[in-house]
Amino acid sequence: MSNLDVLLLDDEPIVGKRLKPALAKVGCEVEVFQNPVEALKRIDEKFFDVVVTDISMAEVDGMQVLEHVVAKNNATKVIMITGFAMMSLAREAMEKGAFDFIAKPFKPDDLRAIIARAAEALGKPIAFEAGESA
Amino acid sequence: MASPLHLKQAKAPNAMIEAAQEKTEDAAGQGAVNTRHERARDFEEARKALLARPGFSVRAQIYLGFALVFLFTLITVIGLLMSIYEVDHKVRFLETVNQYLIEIEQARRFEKNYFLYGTNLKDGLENVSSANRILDSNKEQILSITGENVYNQMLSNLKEYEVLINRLLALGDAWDGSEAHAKEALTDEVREQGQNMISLAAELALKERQALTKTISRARRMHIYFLLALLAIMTVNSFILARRVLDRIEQYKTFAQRIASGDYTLITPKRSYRDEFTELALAVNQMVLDVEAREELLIQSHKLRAVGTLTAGVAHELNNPINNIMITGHMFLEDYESTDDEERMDMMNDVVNEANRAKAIIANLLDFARESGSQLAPLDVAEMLKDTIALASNRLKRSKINIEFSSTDKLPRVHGDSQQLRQVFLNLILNAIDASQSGGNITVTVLPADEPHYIAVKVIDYGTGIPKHILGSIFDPFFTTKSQGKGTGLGLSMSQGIITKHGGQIRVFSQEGHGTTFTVTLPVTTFPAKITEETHMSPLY
Amino acid sequence: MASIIISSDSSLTAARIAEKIAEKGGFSVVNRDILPETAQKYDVDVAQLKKALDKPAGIFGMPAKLKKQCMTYIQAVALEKLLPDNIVCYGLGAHLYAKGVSHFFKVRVLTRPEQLIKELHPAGTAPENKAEKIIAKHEKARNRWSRDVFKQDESNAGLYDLVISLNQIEEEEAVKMILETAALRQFEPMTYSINCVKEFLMAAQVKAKLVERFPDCRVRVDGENTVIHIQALKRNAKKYSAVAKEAARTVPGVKHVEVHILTDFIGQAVESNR
Ligand SMILES: Nc1ncnc2c1ncn2[C@@H]1O[C@H](COP(=O)(O)OP(=O)(O)O)[C@@H](O)[C@H]1O
Ligand SMILES: [Mg+2]
Repeated sequence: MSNLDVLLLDDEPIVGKRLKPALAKVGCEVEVFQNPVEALKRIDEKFFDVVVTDISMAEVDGMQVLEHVVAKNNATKVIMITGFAMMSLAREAMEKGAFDFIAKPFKPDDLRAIIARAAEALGKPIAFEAGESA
Repeated sequence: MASPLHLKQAKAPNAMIEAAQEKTEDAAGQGAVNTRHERARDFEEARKALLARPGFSVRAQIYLGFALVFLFTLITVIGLLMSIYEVDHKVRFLETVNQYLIEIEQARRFEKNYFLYGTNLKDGLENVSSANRILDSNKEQILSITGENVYNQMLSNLKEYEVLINRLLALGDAWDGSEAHAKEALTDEVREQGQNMISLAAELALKERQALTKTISRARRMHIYFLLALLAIMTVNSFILARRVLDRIEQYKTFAQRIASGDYTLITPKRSYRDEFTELALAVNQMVLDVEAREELLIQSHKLRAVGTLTAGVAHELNNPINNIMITGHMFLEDYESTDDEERMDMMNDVVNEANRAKAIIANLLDFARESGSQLAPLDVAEMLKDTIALASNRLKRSKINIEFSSTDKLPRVHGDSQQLRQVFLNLILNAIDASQSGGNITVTVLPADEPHYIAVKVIDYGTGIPKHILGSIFDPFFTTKSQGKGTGLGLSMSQGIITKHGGQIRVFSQEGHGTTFTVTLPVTTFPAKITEETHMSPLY
Repeated sequence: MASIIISSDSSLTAARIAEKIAEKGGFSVVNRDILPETAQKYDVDVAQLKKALDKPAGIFGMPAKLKKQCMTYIQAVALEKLLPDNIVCYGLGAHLYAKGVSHFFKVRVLTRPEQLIKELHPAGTAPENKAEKIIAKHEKARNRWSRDVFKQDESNAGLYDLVISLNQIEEEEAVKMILETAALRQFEPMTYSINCVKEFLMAAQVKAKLVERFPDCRVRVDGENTVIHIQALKRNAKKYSAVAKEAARTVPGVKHVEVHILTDFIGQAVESNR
């Protein structure tokens, strides 16, 4: 079983710090970024199966990251996480090609479930059963 | 500087701390209710003071003026009537004297004829008796003017004359001898007597005529004086009356302007008496109280709306620390076994820090949203501005607007209500955000104002600007150019009210298309150091 | 796939369009067929539920309180049926309460006036020249109905993602358009929007337990928290909040319950001004 390459971008340091091991446990290779500009640079360098990004960030926001990723490689599944969840934002994200959209606060398992679905869709299933904890 | 604030004054530091504690104990709203009660008491006091004065109504003054004029006229009319009566009396007397004179003169004519031609002297006697009759029938009248002496003199003169004539008649036609001699003497006597009588009567008539002229001219003068005096009385009275009424109207005009500018000081007695305007004062006080209560509701509702626009942002902002706590908590549970103590400590530290962060976000918002009883304190404007900007930070972030804050070092404090002032700054900042485009800039500065003892807060945006034709209306209540549900049009009018109450001013400079600068000037507190310390002790700060 | 919610000025049109959508797009239908189940679950008459869906409350109509109750029950069951996606729903007023869910595609279909009149006056009794008046009156009544419980006008276009007038467009065409639009990416369901429906559903279920006792209560579910607002006088606050908590806990899935008592702000201000 090959590892799933995940890029996790959130300007909240704790998100990266805690989710990286959480995702690693289900077989993801996670790179964490707090600065969207650096993250974009990295995305240009390397293909990620999944990009998880916060929406409201200074300088570059999550929507721009989404557009950038989609423009670069359609295969990447982008998951939006935001404390700003509302219908208009959700629709905008989906329209721009997001794979899923999840509101903060969420449980690690919520994100794992989504990533598992993304992995499924990519044909690289990971070791996580949705509904494990629910 | 006399503070124009009518807000609840913190009298002693202790009282302030107590008030603050009371606030933390009980639900929000207590403070406002307290102030309301206090205002009701003020109102009652003002009412009592207004009514305690002796009454002197405008109506009474009008009646009094009329009564005065009437009394004066009455006196004058009586005076005139009396002088008319006097004139009449004198004229009639003169007539009587005239008749008397005519009779006497007729008698003397007979007398003369008799001396010349020896004709009928007897006819003269008739004239004498009719003169006597005149004196007799007009006795009262003559007596009242000449007095008894003159009357008796006249009467006796007449008698003597009559006696003399009768003696002359008795002498008969004898014209010679001793008789003639006696007759000669008698003739002289008669002539003299007649002369006397005439001159007495003429003198009397002359005197009376002079008196009459005097009376008439006096009456004429009285007319003129009366007119002048009446004019004077009426002028003075209407002047006093008009001034009284107009002054009051002027006074109420200033009251109205004062109330319109947001100064809700109750009307207290200024004069020593009570009148119709007292009723008006009471009504105005009642109105001020009602307006104030309603304004409080409006301010609260506007504030809630501002809070609404903020809470959307703040709620989202809260999601970040909560998310951090949630993730950390779940991972803590999940990996408890496999993590070492250090890691666990780290996780729990994160949880505590994030909880504190959430608390701070909420505290800032709640502090603003709390229904406020006014609390006056020396305030650090720069700190307040920082708090306010923090409160709006989410809106700013969402609209991608950059805010720059600068302040001069060691600015003196201002004396005021921190909640209300923060509300003003928030209004200005939210307006600036609304006017700016995504990616725009807003500058907030606080610096000493041009006038001494004032500081100035400037909120500058580089957005749409305000068109000239609406510049005059932006401070009007309910004036808004924003769509329904977005603008209430109360922000600036409320802000102006608050700043005026604080003895400051709010000014706007705008160029359409280039941006807008709102400048708030506030008087600095004159005795900073001492109270400052006390404030830090109060749990509110 | 999105779920489609159809609203129309004519209930027959809504039904026809929805059925065609179901047939062409492979959607399952949710309509008034859920009423018997609702009636049974909450122990009310089907007739009453129907009336609540059709008639404004009023002195001669249904008591406002009863209407609120019925609508809450309908809402609770309808949302449950809307939980899976790929649903087409009509006739249940869902456009008024299923708001803010990004994968609910809400469509308003406007019937041709002549057809609407035919429906409103089946026997052709409609006076020729009064058509406009009849339609205006109908619309007014519908708005009154929607304002009753949901405080908004049903005819407000802002409520919908798409408004189609059948005046110049054939029904077949309209159905095609609706299906095409519903297939757009922005109406795709996602974790967030599905969670929204779940929260709405739980809120409606909790409210259904409370509405008889507290007709004006508001319930919001946010994650694992259920927040209830009740209007009451201060002195009843404790008692009511215990009652509400108890009732809410009977709903499966409810974990934390928070009850807020709203004291009448204006009323209080008036009182303290006396
Ligand atoms: N910084 C600004 N730039 C441009 N226009 C402004 C600014 N501040 C206020 N205005 C104008 O003044 C009006 C009144 O403002 P306000 O009293 O705060 O009410 P509201 O913000 O609710 O409309 C606004 O509708 C807007 O037209
Ligand atoms: Mg404003």
